[in-house]
Amino acid sequence: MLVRVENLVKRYGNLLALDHFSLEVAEGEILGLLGPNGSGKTTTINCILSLLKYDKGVVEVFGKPMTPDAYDSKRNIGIVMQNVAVFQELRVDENIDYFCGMYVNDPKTRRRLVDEAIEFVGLGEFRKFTPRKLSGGLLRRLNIACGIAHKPRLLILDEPTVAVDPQSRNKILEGIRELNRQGTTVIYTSHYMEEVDHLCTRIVIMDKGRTLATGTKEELKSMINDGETISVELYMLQPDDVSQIRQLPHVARADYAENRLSVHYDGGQHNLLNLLDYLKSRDLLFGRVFSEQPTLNDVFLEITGRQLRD
Amino acid sequence: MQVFRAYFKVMRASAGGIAIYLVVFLGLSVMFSSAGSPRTMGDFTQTKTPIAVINRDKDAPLAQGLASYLAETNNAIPYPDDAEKLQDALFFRNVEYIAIIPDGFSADFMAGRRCAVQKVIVPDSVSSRYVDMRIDKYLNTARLRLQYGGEESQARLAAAARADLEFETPVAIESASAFGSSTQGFVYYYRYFAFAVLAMIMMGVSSIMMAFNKPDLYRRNLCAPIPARSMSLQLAAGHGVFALGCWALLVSASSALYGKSLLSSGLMWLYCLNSLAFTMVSTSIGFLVGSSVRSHGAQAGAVNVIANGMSFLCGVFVPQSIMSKPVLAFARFLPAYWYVRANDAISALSRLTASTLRPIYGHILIQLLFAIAIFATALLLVKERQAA
Repeated sequence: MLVRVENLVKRYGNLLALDHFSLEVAEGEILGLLGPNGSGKTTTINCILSLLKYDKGVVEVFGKPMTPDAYDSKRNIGIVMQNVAVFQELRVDENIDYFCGMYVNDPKTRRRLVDEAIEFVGLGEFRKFTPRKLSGGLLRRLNIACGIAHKPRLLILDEPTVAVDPQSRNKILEGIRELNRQGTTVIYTSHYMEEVDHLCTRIVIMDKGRTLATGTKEELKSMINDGETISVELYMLQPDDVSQIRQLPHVARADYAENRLSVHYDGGQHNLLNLLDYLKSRDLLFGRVFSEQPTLNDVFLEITGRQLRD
Repeated sequence: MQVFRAYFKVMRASAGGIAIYLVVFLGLSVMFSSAGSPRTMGDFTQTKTPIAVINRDKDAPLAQGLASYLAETNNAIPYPDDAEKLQDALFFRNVEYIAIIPDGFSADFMAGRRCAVQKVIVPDSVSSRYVDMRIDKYLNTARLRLQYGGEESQARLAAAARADLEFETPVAIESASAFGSSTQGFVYYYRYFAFAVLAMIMMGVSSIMMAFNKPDLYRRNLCAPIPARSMSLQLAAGHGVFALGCWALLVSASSALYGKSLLSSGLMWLYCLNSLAFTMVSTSIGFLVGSSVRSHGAQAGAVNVIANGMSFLCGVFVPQSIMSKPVLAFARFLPAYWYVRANDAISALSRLTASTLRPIYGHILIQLLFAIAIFATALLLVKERQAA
């Protein structure tokens, strides 16, 4: 295992931020760390990076205990902080060179790595700009370039796409996938379910400092009762028909409103065929039909209790 | 040395502000030092008033003696006894005093009758008083000789009076430094130096501290494989090089502006030593400010309040000799006060001996203690913030 966190306990006064939290990250995977605000994601990252002292537990990176002076381990870790952490006074290339220089001493190698990082995040035409002149999306890309320039074995990204436009977000996600293809192991925290859904090979859902679920996205989706949702556009559906539809196999819920029938299933197969057969048997004319599979968002909301918290 | 290299790249952003302080300081110090340093304070020269002496008592030796005495002790300009020309001379300020010795003046004087030298002067002329005093001096001396000296002839009386008036009291200004430095321009320069070096270094050091102490950047740096101690040492080295650079720049400027007089004073090394001690104080204050403030607005406010406040309270802009006792009593708790004390003591030095240098060293030592105390306070503040 590249990263091993076992029974981690961290308290902020009376607040229990991490409650015997455990985590393992294998080499080559992209691990998504999902959780509502205040669930303990950033605290976990800070403990892994040894930025925070924890009360109890074990943190190992590259098979060695992680401590503030574990410089051999730190040399192979790239970090992209939640907030953009760059010098406002330095230009784009100077910022990347500064952070790369913390890991790579040889000036020639460093110049090459800086150029590659700039190319990688698409900041070529902004390399002489100071951060003040960059948009939010470009700043995020600079933040990432500073974290990846030294080509780390382990890359930790703490919500790197917050407040980033879709174009920049896609560019960032493509970059992370490319890094992973090149052999970098990634720990990725985010609020955006679709990002984690598309990017991560394994997902950990946490809340209140504890692991709620772990697995691939397919495994997680299979954990919840939600199946597919079928929507049908039709007119003049009688309440009796809605009641009949609710009696069909695996139907969990059926609603009719504004000339649209929504049927939620809790599993089963051939649900669409069964529904359409019923509608034909009742000579009901229908328009467009939609079928949606459960998303990671459904899983997240189901597992974390369907509540929004600050 | 990544942090050390970044130090001076980050410093570029503050270069404009620092340059403004430098230019303002150099401009003001040159202006004040040239305007505020009288060049004749070190010696004494009698004032000579431009006068015209018209002797109408031509052949009388006493009148001739008075005319020649006035001509010697003043700047006598020859004019004919022509009322119009004399009025023109006075109107155009070619002379400030016209002394007219009337006909029969000497005979009246010898006989003890009432007599007077007529005068025409520029209205409200102060210098005319000096000429009056000299005329009185000559006539009083002649009268004393006439009454008690037994001189009966005008020629002997005039000669005796002139002989008495030959004696002059030598004047020496004891308060002037033996090194001739107390009124030199560089004394003013090194007094204002305190403001410039304090403002420049505070601005530079605090800017760097603020940049590296931003919480996100600080945490990001902690993730790097470089010991925190090494980063702190690199930053300290940066502060040291920057502070020494500012000091060297200002000392070089003093050499360029006052090179010959400063070097010939033999006191340059003392000024350098004192200013170096205050440079250390300024660095520690900059470190404290940089550790305390979060925004550039607060930083600019702190720099201006501390640099100007300390300069006004401690006698940088106004000499300590004319400041009130309560203000000076308060200023003793500020390092700039001891810098100015040392500076004044250096400029007043009459000779270089252990006893004369001891108080200067004492003042410099107090500045260094201030530097250590302020630096220790800043370190405590940093530690507390880091722990938080």
